[in-house]
Amino acid sequence: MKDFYLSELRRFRWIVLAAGIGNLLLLTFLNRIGDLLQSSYFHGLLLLIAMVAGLVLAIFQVGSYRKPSQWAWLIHRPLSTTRIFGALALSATTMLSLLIFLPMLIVLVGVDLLTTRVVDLHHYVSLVHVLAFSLMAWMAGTHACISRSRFAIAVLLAPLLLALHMVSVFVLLLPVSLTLGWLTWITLKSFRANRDAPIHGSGTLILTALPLQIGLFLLCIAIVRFLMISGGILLGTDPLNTDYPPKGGLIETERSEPSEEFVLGLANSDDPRAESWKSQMPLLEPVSFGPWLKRFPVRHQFSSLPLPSSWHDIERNIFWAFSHDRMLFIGRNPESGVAEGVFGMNGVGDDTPFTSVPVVAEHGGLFTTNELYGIDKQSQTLIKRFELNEGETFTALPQREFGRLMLLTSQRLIVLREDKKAAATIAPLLLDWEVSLPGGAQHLTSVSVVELMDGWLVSFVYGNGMRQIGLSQFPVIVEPWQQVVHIDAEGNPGATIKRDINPDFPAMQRSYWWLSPALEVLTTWPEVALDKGLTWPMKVMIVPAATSQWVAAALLILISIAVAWWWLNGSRIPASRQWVWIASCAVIGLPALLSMFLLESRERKV
Amino acid sequence: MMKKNLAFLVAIFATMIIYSASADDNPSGAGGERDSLSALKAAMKSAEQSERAMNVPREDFMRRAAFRDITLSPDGRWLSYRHEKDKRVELWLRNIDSGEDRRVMSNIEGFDVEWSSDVARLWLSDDKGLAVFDISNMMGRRIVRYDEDRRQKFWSLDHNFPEVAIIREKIPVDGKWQYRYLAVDGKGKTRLLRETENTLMHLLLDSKGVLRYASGYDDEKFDTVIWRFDNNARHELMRCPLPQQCRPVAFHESGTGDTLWALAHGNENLLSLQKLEGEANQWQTVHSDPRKTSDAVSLLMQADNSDWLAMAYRPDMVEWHGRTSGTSQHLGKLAEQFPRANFDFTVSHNGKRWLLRASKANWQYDRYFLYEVEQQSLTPIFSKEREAHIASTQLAESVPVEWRGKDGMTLYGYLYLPNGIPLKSAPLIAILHGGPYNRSNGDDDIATQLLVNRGYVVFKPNFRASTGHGVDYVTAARGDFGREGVLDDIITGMDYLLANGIGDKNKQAVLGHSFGGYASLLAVTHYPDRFAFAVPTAAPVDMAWNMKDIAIEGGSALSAEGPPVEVLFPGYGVPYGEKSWHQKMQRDSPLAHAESLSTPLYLWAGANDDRVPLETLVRYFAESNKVFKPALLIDPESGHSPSERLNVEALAWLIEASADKHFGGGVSPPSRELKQFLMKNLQNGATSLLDKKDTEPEE
Repeated sequence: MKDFYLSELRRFRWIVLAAGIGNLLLLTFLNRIGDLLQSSYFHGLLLLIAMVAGLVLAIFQVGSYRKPSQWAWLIHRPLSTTRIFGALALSATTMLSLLIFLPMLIVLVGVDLLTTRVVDLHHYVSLVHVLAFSLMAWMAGTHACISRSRFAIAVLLAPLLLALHMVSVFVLLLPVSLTLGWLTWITLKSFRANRDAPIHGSGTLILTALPLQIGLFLLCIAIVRFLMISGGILLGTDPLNTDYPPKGGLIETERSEPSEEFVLGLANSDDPRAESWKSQMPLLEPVSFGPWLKRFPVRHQFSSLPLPSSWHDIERNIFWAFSHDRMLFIGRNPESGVAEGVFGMNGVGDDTPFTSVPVVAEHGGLFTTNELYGIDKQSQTLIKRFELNEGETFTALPQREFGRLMLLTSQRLIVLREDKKAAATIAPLLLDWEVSLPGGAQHLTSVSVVELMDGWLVSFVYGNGMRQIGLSQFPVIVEPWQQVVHIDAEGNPGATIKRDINPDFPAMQRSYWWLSPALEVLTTWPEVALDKGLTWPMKVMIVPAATSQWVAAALLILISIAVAWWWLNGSRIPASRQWVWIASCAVIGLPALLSMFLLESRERKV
Repeated sequence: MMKKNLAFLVAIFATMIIYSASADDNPSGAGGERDSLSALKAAMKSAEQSERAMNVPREDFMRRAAFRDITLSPDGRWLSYRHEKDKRVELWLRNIDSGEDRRVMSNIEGFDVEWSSDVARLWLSDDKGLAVFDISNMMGRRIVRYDEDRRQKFWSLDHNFPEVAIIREKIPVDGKWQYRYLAVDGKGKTRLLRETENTLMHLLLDSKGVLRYASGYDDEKFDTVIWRFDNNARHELMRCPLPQQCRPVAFHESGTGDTLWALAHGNENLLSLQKLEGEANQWQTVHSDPRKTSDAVSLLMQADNSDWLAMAYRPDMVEWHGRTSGTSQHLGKLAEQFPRANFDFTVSHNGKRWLLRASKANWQYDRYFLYEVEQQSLTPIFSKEREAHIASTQLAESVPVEWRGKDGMTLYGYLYLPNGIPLKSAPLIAILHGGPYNRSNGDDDIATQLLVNRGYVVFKPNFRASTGHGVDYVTAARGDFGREGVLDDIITGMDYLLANGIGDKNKQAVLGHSFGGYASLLAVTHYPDRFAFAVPTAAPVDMAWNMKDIAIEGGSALSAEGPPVEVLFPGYGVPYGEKSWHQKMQRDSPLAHAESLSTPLYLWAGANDDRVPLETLVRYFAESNKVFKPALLIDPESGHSPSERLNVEALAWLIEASADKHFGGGVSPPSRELKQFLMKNLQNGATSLLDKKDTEPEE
């Protein structure tokens, strides 16, 4: 095994060495351009490079044994298949460590030891995760190389969906370990003399099939979406591809200017003032925003959100960057590189840690999930300007409009006025008015506000909502609606006008839950289970409200079962294994059927 | 603000006129009205017999002089001026003796320029900081960048201590504002002059650079107080409750003590020159308007501040009074050369050279002269560079008018008569000033001259609540900004003119900006059959609502350090704290009667207006009578008033075009650029104003 391991290393030593040096130079270059550790943009790029490296290595390393003669030569070595796999996997781990992990570690240690920039423990742990994802790609590539079908590469989508989350690096160790272990197991089990033989054991079969099914599920969504949209365009019924969006529909509302949105919302109102409000709208300039702040950073987060976590005190030339380890801002002079102390909850020099990771807002402010602070540049202290209720979070960056500060939260729209007469460097905020979100934050699409002489008008549009993360829409089918609320001159919410909005798309096109309800739940589950700093809690709706989705899901499962039954019937596949597939189709549906076609050989009984 | 606080020369308002008549020449009262009426008749006769003015394109009214803001250095050797060239404004210096010109700055836009009294430098201040231009080496440099967090801004210069400029900063200390006044020397080094809890307004330093006198607000009533400062103590010398004013303007140090000069009401009706000598406790009124109708508007002091040189008032035109017969003689000579012109003076240290800026309603641009006192010679300067595009014969002079209000109160205003037109059949347009605590000055302005040139009579009333005629005048409205009071004054003024054969009663219109716009709306609301049309611009539609809005929003309408609305308006006699007043204002408001509007309206609104919010005019527009739905021009770039050339012209066009639509006096075709602006921003089909054939854009 040792010899095989060493021989594999020798095969790729020059290319790995060259690529490793190249990677080191690239990382050094990127770190010169900016503070790579505080960046969010480059992290995705580096992860992509690491996974592509793992995949390419698998294709060149294991792919070279794919030919039957080569495979026979490999597998009939005087070593068990486990040891053969072990030697290959260990050599790949070594090479990827040299290629990916070591250059990153060198740069990180260099920054840590030679500069005053913030380097946290989560940066080090992140390197382990990057290596793990690179290995997952190698496992997936290896698995695909030696499987019956090259479609087996779809298993790579499983780790992306189940383990790639911007959560605490320590929490992430669990899903990453499990997923890597899972992929390692199925790859190990695919090391067999006869690669076309059925997979041994129901457990291994299920474990092999499931990541493939997840990948196929996503593939099905893409294909069905493409077919539905192209079919709609061909028939001229796709609402996104007509000259004008359908009247009374969600697209019309979402595409309208804020002033037009108000007119739409007031169209059926019997309020005596509505006519006046409608005719004022084209002449005023309402503003529109929405719950577009989807998540806050969490402590020890894997990578960084594209939200500022540092600021530059130009007057004193101090760059303050946030340290997750100390939960404080750490100052450094970017010109001299000299450390400039810490900035805690009570300002400069104070080491009272923040309770959660803050985000730097515009106009010299900080905010956490439920608190808004102002930075007093003179005294270099932090002044709490506003605090939300328990359990309430900001869902948008503070908006400065109409001479007010508007805070959109998971529960309310809060409009504040700065008390400019107050003797304070940071003007205290006075509550002008507030209004509760009429349908919560979950499916809120946008909020529009306009100031009138006799108060304010606020329009809430509820639609499909914005899924905070993930690859598909909400599995929930809701009917879009709009509510216009009048806030009187005293700041009290008064008249409300509600309008139902046509969803434009049929229920079948608004969610692809019906393609596989079980996998939809499974792939959504990590988003709920992990603390991702979401600004409002994600809900897993096991059952959507639309009957058509139900019917489609049931039909698809029945068809999958029937086709599987027909396909398996008369094959040489053992009966117990056939029942595994039938059960799999009954639970997972179409993706299970497709995975069966890829994993099983349909040899007829003689 | 305090930018003009040079002890030698105190220029309070911009324009003045030389008047050397004695106090008894023009007593107020019935005699004054008779004189006014006879002068009015004479002006009418003269106008009707004159040749009709040629139609001047609007474009010509819009032109600004390329050379402007000419100032004389205190030593009388230099002139500074701005020169607009290739859409850029430069600052230049001219050596008067050699005639040599030298450029100081290639882009002076946004800067205020002031001479240090020792002529060592020019102080240049903008909203970012301070710069200096040293005369000795002709080099300029930035010396201070303001700290925004400390709200620093330029405050004033001081005649006695020319080495420094004073800047003010405003910082919070233990929940209270502290106002710090800092002296900045020519190298940018600062030292603290004084720290106070209330803002100071006018500061006077002694020859050692120590603060000696200042005025500022005091207590919750925001009385203006003049203090003397000794070390850490301050002594109250004068207290002026709202709406009175008092400001120290100069002091003279002598062996017997200081003599302090102030322009103040001193519990009298009119603003006058007062002094406090040595250890005396009582202020003496040194000079006040001999006609007993006007507040003081300007003061010239002797170089050593030992005595005053001349005082100016503005009963109608600016009238100057010299202290000595010698000064009076010079002033009189100048007045003879330019009858009815308003003069603004800068006098050199040695008193031998004066810079004169003369203005008249029918002069498109002010004229500048150097007056050599000993030789009594008057030399025009920049006359070629500032040559008017419109001859004075084509423009109208202003004619002061007096009339009695409904309650018998004497009221003042100005009239502009078109030449060569039977006045009895001419359209009569009232242009109402804003504020209301402001006034019309009888000067040249674009809208007035444009309308007069089109053959309309223009009337600019200084209704009660106008400034410049004393405390009684400015408080006389007692908050009656509804159906009566101010509106009565406007209507009685127009009736007075009609009764004297000026204007056709079937061709009346009214327009105004801000409060003037509100008063225009009031006029068409409560006199629905009287006016052919109105052009209210940036007009509140409910005065009480607007005052409350200003109280909440702040904005540019009121100084952040001055009295708040709930103190300011009661100070002017408005019962702001009484609910019944708010109810009456709302009841009488144009908004409350919008549905019954029966007069064509042409509204203008600035989208970024922080005094009269856009939504108020939009609501009025939306709720007004559909038959008489107003036209509305929303200027997307402007605030309370337009400032850029295109935006100003758009407003001028709205006035000209609406008057043409109803009175047919003609309208200059808009340029392609202006037409595009109007097409985009005119609401509610008001583009029909553009439909006239002669309004096609010029190719």
